Amino acid sequence: MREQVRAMNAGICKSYAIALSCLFLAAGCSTIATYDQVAYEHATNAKVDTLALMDKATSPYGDHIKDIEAVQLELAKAAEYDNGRPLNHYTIELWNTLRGQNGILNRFLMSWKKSGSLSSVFINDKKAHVAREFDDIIQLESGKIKTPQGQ
Amino acid sequence: MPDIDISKILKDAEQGIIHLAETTFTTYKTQAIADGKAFLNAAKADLQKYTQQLAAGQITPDEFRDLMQDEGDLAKMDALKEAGLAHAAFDNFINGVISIVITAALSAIP
Repeated sequence: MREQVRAMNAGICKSYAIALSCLFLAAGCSTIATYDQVAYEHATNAKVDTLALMDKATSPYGDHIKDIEAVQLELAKAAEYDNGRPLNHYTIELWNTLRGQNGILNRFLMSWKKSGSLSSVFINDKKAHVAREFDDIIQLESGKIKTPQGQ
Repeated sequence: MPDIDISKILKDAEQGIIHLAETTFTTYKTQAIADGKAFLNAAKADLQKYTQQLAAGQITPDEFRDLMQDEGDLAKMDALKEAGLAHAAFDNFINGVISIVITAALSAIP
């Protein structure tokens, strides 16, 4: 009888330990969002489309209004998706910097608008900077912990 | 391509950074100088490239200023990425620690 009670108590203790451990794992150990495949794809697609748009700046700004608006919408959607994810402060701030009014991309678009068209040397220099900004977002997403549901 | 003395530009910039830090900060002066030098070092390759492009007439002075202004955003973005990656590494480590604790606790119970 005493052995049966001891075995029962051990079972209860084990269940508590498992429950407590699960609670720790679920609640206590995330300081940043986990990897999200959709967010990763948004960022990589937006990078390709943005750099392709920048290549067009050797021709007049006015000829590409629709392309510019399409890329700006794509960037807004990608940023908004990340904005809705919990514990995603760093990625949100990265998007805010990339899309900022006085950020690298917007200043490029303003120069294009003001000048009508830009030199390929300047375009390539700016493309390298914008690519680095996207790479920061993409590399951070890649570096987040991968979970079965996020992949 | 015109020959540009990049080491002179860097030396002048470094002296400017030291002067700026000394006139701006009292407590954080040493850290500010170190940060300024690190920023200058990170932007060195771009500075050399854009200075040569400017001297060769391939970009305008406004475009040169614009490109150098980008360096601030690039440094900020790099710092944000590194901070985020540090959090991810911390989470990963803590998950490992918890797994070890769970295994140890469960194996201690008969």
